[in-house]
Amino acid sequence: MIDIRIFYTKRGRIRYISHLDMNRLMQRALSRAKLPVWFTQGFNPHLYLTFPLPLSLGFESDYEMMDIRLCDPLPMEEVRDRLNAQMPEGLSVLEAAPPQMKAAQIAFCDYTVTLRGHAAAEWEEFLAGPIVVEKKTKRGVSEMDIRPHLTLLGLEEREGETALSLRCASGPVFNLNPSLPVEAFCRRYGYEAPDVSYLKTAVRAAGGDWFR
Amino acid sequence: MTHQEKIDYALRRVQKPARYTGGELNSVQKDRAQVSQRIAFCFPDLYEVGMSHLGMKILYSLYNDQPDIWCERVFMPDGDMADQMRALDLPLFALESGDPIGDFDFVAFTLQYEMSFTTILAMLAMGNIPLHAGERDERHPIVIAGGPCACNPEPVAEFIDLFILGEGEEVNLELSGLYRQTGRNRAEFLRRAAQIKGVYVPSLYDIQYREDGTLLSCTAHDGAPQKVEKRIIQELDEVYFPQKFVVPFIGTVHDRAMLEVLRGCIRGCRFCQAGFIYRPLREKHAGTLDRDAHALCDSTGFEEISLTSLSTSDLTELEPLMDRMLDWTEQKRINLSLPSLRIDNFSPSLVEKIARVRKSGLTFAPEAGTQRLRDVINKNVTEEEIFSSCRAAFQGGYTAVKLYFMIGLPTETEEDLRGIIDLAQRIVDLYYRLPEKPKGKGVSVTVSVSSFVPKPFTPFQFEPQDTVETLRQKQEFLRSLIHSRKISLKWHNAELSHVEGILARGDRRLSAVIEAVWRNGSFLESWEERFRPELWRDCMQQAGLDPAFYANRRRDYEELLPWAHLDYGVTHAFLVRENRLAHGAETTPHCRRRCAGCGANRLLGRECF
Repeated sequence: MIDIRIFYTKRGRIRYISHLDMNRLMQRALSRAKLPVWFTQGFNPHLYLTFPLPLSLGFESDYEMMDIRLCDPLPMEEVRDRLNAQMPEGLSVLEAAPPQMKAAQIAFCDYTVTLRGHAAAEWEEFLAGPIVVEKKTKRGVSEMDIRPHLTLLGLEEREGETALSLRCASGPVFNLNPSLPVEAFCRRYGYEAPDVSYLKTAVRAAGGDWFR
Repeated sequence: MTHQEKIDYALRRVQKPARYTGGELNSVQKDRAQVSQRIAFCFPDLYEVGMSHLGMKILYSLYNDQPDIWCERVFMPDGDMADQMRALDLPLFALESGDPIGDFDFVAFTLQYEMSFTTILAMLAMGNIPLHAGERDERHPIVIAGGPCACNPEPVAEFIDLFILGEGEEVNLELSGLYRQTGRNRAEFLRRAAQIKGVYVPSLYDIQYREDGTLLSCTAHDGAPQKVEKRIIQELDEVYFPQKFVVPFIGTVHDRAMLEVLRGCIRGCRFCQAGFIYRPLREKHAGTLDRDAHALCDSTGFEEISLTSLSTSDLTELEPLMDRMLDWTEQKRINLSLPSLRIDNFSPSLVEKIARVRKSGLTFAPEAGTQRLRDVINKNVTEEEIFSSCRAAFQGGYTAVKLYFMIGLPTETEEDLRGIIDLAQRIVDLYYRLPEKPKGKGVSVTVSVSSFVPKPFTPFQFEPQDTVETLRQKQEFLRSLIHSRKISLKWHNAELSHVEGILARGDRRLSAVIEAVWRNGSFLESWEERFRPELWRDCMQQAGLDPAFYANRRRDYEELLPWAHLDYGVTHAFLVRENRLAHGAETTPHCRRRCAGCGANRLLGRECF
């Protein structure tokens, strides 16, 4: 068995399909590509496919990954090209490579967040203090400050919009969805949260290396 | 905001936005400048329902194989999206281009069930297309409709420019051919379209009523035929079949490849409209089906393929087909599924092959609780067959059985109702008597009871439907008979069946009712939570129409019925004969055993077998 990590991008209107739907889409794409994929051996065999870090509905991404297993070796370029040929509009397979890290090593994700209007000054004010959000736990609702899990990498006003570069803590231990601070911002300053666009630009390991 | 910005604004605020994005694999993009005809194929229900429909897939591919035609898909937006679109003044748009449907040459609806009629009006209105055919002019698309409910299209005749009766693979292209000649000259197009076999232009027919509300006459003018005959495909094995299906992003009701193995039905169950309006029986060959199955699986990657028809076990070449297909589907880990199997015609080797693919639950449709009533409805399933199938299934490890019945069938008595629960109880008893029953598990028998709705072109088209009150009493009576916790009873909304009954045999006067119900905010009424029975009651009353006249009245054999000017092959004389046999509890053998003389072979121009 050969483990392979597929790197792909998700852009445009296909951002409206959910993680569950992506799973089914990729299964069917792998089937059409006629790759010698490995099936689980249980009572109900199914195609082995996992995503190290699922993407929220509505988000675009330049750095998505899924892990598959092949029964027979194939050149990585061929795996990439055959799968890429089966992608619907909006998905592009960039690379197929043996995984170098385990999903548990994911530590951060970088996002470009774009919202309407010129809001740089408000963002600076917002990020200067704690960001307390309500968190639903098994024992009810608790409050937590998510500011320590968030780094501002860049802030820029463009024509009629504001673009932020945010680094959020990610991975199996603690995963901060950028919509949490962004929606808190929108509530405080009166912006329309549904109009905010999210683009994932990087997934990184502790220390900041690209997750590979 | 631009049109595209409005769409994006709405998509960010609704549930399941992928219903409205388009862009799925195998969806067809064309250059607007390179096509001369644009068709908006509308399914008047949600995306998940419409995308499960085989007929739409066939016509979508057929149209798009024509270089000068671009056919796109349109579904009814759910309530949240409809609200957003109204607030944004965003007209209903097609999924492929995002263009408003009012800009298309044709807007085509498929009429799958009566309860979708108000949704058709909702879609026309959202597309800024005048509701009434008579209000449209050269600026507007031609609104066409086909599908099973076109066999009595009178309740929606006001809203539709032309109906296609029967099978669409040939006649749709003939209409496009005519449009290449006439362009948007609406009057000329409709007048000439009426000359095409299978095309019904309702505005060319005048209806007169008697004082008692029944029809006095239906008169064709402007050269339209006095009787419109439905279209069939003569050689089904050679008919167009798509090699690709659009692969939806989100889960749909039937999310799989589908092969149509035959058309028509030999069985003649007297309540079943499909069993009569799709006659005569025509089949495909195993080689053709296997070839299409390969192509579909390769182009979609679906993990399941189903062999569909009204009765797949009646396919002559079912065994050779399964032999061929199981060879490769098992190897590719594709599930082969066979809905619509009858239990009375299984050979042992077929049973063995079906056992290789059947993993889901076990379902039987005895439809009636006693042999007498099953004879009345000509459902030739015996209790021995049900019991022997259940025994084999229990021995094979199954513990759940689902049984489908109808209440309100003609001649039904209390004994027939008792028979329903009695049959379920005896299946429970059978399970516990079996020494080899699955250890440590109980059995579960689900009894699903729908209410009989008399439909046009069936031998029961003359019959009164039970009133809502009677149906409810029967439902309660059934519940009172259950003394086992192993039996669960489900039933359909009696008021929904009642409105279905009104519309199914309705006439043109009902268009005012349908319009009023829609104007009061109703659409997507096949979703029960959106169905408002009191609104239908009020709107019937305001239109001066009596629900019982349509639903609960027995028709004389001589009465001029609203669909009498449409010809679906089966003759009036045959339907009368079958109705009489039903009242004598006499069965009619299936078509392969003996021709019942229904008349549909006239469409073939030869004997069926």
